Amino acid sequence: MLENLISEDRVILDLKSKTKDEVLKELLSVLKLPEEREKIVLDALKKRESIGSTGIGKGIAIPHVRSVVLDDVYLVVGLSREGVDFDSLDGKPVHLFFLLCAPPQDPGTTYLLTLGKIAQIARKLARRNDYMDIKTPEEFVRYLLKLEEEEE
Amino acid sequence: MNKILEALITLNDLDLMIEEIKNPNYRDLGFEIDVQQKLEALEKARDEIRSKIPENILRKYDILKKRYHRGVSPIIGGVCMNCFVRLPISIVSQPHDNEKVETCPNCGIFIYWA
Ligand SMILES: [Zn+2]
Repeated sequence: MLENLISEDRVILDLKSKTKDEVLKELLSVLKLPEEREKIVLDALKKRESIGSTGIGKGIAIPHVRSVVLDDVYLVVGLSREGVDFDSLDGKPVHLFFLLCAPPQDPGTTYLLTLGKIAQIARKLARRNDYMDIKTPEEFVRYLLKLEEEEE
Repeated sequence: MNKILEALITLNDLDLMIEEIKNPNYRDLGFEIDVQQKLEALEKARDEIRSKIPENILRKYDILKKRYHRGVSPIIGGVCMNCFVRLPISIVSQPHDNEKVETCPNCGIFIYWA
């Protein structure tokens, strides 16, 4: 499932942002959406964060949103060495981000399954920190695909 | 962008968010949300946006939403992403800057030129 969504050019291993709003924008910028659409999606992402942080603890966050201006499901993975204050449940800075953006089609099913899959992978990641040593996007993609296969 | 079109997009995205946090399958994913309290805040934001949209357009949005689970769709490469029908070349070939509220000639959804 993840295989169809993840690609090397949507993995950032050195996020520069220090704040929540900045990091959402930096992750989103990878998709190279036209300015106006990017702003709409960014606003929706911020609104989503305002009702409860998608920082699930253990240094991981899964910002996600659906917007009518999108035509496809997009996943961006980002790693911050320093960490970003993301109002996480455990109050710890977030180092690993999974940004999921989707169009509204099929009242929720594919998107929710994907979100569930990412949450499952995040739970596995929460028990380890070796991913901080990964040096290239290729390696990161392989790492995540392997993790997806592992038993929880 | 046209202010009404912009409000329609914001409204639709908000409606998606409201639908999401009401969905038990979504809630099972474990994102920490005080649903009752947040739902009220989102619904208040939705009411505010609705008040900026003329009555006749709102009525149409509500009908479209019921029928297609969305009221606005992007046009990408001349194709409506709601009905997947290619719009007539006479419409597509004109310049589009989203400065007016338009609908898809096939399915009637409000369109956003992406
Ligand atoms: Zn259409």
